Amino acid sequence: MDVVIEGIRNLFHISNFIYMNIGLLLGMIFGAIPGLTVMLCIVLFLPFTYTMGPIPSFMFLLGIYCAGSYGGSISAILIKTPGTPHAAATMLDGYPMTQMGKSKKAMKIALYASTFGGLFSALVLLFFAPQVSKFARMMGTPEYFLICALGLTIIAGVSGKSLIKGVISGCIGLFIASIGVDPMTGGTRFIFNNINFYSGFDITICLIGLFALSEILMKSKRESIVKVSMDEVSKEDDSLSKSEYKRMAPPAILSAIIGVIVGIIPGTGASEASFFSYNAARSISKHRDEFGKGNIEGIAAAETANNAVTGATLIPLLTLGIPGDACVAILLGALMINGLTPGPNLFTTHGVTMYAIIIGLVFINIFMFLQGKYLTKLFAKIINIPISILTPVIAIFCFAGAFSVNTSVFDVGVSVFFAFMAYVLIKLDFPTVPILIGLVLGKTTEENFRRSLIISDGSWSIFASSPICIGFIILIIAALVFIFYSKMKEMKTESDN
Amino acid sequence: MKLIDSIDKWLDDTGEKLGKKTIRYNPDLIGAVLMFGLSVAFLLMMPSQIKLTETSTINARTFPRLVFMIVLVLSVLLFFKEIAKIVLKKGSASRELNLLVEVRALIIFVFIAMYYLLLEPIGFIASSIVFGICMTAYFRVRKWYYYAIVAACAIAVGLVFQYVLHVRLP
Repeated sequence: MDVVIEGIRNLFHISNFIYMNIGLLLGMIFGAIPGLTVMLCIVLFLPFTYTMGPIPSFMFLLGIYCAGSYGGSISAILIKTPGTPHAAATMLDGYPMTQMGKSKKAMKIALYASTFGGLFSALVLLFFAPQVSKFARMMGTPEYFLICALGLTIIAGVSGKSLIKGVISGCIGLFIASIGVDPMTGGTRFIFNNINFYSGFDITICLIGLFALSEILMKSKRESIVKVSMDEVSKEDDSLSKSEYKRMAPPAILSAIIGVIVGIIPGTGASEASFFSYNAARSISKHRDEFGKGNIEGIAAAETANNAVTGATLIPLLTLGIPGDACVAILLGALMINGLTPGPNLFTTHGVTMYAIIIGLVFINIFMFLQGKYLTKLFAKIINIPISILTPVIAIFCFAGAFSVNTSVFDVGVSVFFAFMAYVLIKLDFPTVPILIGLVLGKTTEENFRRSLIISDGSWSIFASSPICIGFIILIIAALVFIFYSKMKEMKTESDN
Repeated sequence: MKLIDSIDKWLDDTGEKLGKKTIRYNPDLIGAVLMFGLSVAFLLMMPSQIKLTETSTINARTFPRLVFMIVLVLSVLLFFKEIAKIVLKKGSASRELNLLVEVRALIIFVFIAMYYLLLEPIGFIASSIVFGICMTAYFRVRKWYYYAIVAACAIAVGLVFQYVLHVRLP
């Protein structure tokens, strides 16, 4: 209990709340603008967190992460273009409501549902993470290696169309993470006599290239944008009746539970959660035929679920060190930058910081509600910013961010190289998210792999030496079978079509 | 204005011609060959790039070797899987590259490369302004204030990093 109180004390600094709100504002803006992603926002602003300390930097990044999920719904409702993929299900009923002249009401439902989902998952995180952490403390190096292998397998499997290509991408990430000085022996690896390679590649520099600069290359098309007239929106009535609140409650509760479950499973994310919940809400609704035509339950279900994922994805991250999706993988990188190694010992060694972050997540959702309530008009206007202005500004941010990590022009070149590499890989259908997971988990995976083999004198049987190890091996096999089965099913459906 | 109109027309015509041109390729076959080549190259380079200081069998080469062996095996598997699909006529993973899309990406990449090369000689803010203006021109924007906004943003980003985050930009 003392740790929790100390955590609250550490959280209650004005700077934490300022950073939290700046993060929320940025997240909503990036979420609302189609073409910009929450991940891009986190990557672009990651260099800003280098000097902040763990609590403010996490408040800032989690603010972006949570608000991005809600922000995507604004453009989905107003212009039928989801700002983020998570908001695609929201669009199904959100846009028909706009056509009926009820866009303000739809945005209000999205905000209320997002806040409810976010708060629910933050509380689940608060109560469950310490319990999972207690279990995780029983694990040794072989178990830890198997956990990393499980995370990599699932994300490699679900990230693209091909499991083989996903695993190859994951291996590329693992290799990149191994470049530089070997932490166990002090020798150098693949530095090609170049002093700049000596300390390896910083995660932020790789991310800027892989996910931000490459986006600019992929978005070379001059897209026309749909303008939103806020004058018409302002005149609408957005009040919700008691019966409407009652109608939204069951799908919202069900979606919050679905969102949390989906969020805990690595490799699945807000998009899956929102569609699962949308379908579940439809099946329990008394107004099934209204779905897709502007049903408030549909919006409530989709938005509750995609925000319920946010806190849940942090459970495997903070307790086991396994990122559930790409955004959370970047958060893992941010934790490492601040000297916090995610995993079983995080709650014992940095319990105060952890509780400050988890309780902070509750406040993030409260402030998200307030910003959403009072600034929706502004966010709706932001959708109108032309891509011709945004694209160069993002690239300039990327260059400044890449340079600022080590104040090195060479690093900017590395980012440009990674952007080119990502572009080529995407053209060859290799997913880039497993590269990120490989990069983030690389050092931990290798360290635990080598330590285990050193302990066992080179015998691989150590990876099946305990019931937990066997459990993880079964999970890896089950994941592989499931991924293989779903890919086969996908292929069959494609060939049938 | 007439000159800009004629340039616009020429660009539209060229774009239309390029838009019709496509290149077919098999991403699985190319990807498999590329990954096979890279894994073999890195495995061959390993003795010169990772010098061993310890005598243990579990050393600095163990993990990268395992990673490259996985890539090697999987790329062979991917190659033969695709060949089997072609032989059995089960629909190979053929893709189409639209020349217009690729030329556009190439132009942006050239801008980005130029921006990188100009960073040190002319400094961050100046190179950012040049890049910003080139990119805005790429989008064929005619409103002058768009160029001014982008240039102002370049200056603002530079100043924020320099004076707020205390980063000594080039």
